[in-house]
Amino acid sequence: MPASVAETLAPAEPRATVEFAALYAEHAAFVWRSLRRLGVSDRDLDDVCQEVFVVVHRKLATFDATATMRTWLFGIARRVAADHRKRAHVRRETLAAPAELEISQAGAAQAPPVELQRARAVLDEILDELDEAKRAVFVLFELEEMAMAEVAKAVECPLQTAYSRLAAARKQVEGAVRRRQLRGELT
Amino acid sequence: MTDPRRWLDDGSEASPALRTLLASARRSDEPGAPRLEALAARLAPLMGPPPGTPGAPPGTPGAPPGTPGAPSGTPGAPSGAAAASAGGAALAVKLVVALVALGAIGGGAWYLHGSRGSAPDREPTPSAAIVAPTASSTAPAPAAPPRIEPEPVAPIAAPVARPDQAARAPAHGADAATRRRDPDDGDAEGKLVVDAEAALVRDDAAAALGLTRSHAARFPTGAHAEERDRIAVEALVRLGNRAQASAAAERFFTRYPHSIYRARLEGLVR
Repeated sequence: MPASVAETLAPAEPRATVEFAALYAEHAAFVWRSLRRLGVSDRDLDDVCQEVFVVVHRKLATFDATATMRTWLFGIARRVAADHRKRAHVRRETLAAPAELEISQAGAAQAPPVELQRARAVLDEILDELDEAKRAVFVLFELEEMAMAEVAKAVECPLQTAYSRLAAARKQVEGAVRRRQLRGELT
Repeated sequence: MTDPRRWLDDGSEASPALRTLLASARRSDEPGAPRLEALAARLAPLMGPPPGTPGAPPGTPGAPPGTPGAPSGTPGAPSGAAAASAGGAALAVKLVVALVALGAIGGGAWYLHGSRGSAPDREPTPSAAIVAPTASSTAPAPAAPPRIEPEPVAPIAAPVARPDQAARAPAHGADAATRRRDPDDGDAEGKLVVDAEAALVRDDAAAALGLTRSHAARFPTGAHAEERDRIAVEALVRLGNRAQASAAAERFFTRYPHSIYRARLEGLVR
């Protein structure tokens, strides 16, 4: 459920607003990447990322300084992405045709080469086969290069559990790659 | 227990195919500066009070720590974040400057547009608003009582003309201090725009459109007018009202020819 904007715009101290702007500047790319890797479609990324930062703005005062900002942000992004997935089927039924809703024009000029796009699409397929808990651990460790201790905090599980999820995710990803190789879809 | 070697690290056991797939994410998962700036503009109402408002901190609104007028340090930020690269700080400055410029350009354009005529000419009219016309908004705005009330949240379906706002707007060239807006106006204006954006995010395009109409009626020359008009176009698209969306988009392109939303809106309506 989208955050209450009324709360986010409660009279804010100048200090808090400065923090938010700086926080956005420093971590927006991380949040955006995380959402992308958690399975939010490119078409929806801007909206979902905005939703994350609306929540961040509302909860910034409750940030626990014993955590790192990245793990805190990832926790919010993960929850918002999960909510987004739950609403996805409804949206697919009610939204206009995808061509009308393509909102990624800002990035279109910098589109990656076809081979890169294809490899990225295959990775998406494989990540989609993972359950959300394994996927989160996998992308944080392998792609964001977080230490496992930080990964465990980000996904709010014991460290040993995080290791187990990583091992299971790796096994599943390796299997998915092998299957595609056997089918001739990957070299 | 030590962390395993990452698959993309040298000497890992990952196959070339696995490395290729993971590398594709590393290489292509960056949003890019234009996209982040566009998103920052959408979040502008959360970034701080509009430039020149009494509630704005000294110096650049929303300036990152370390810039003049900003408090030092970022409480709550991790040490790693505090030690972020100079590139991160530079991006912060760039974003803030972009936001300030966006607000200034949008507000300035409205101000100049409105200042060409007499005060009553600055009242909201169908031609002055991107927001799709309705039966109520196409009629001449009724005169409102001259008394200036604190800004409550506007009813969505009932745009209220505010000639009193136009009347109290100083003439072009008046002392800058007198051009400062009521801080309550700033809060209410930002709230309307962010509420409209939030409605759009939750796929309630009708509510988003209603909120943009309220904003247009109350703050025709507001600091977030460009944002409002962009939301209106997107809401019309989502409602399937292609003709009005296209017309509103054309007015948007005329009014904001260099808007960072231009490509996005063109993609939506063409």
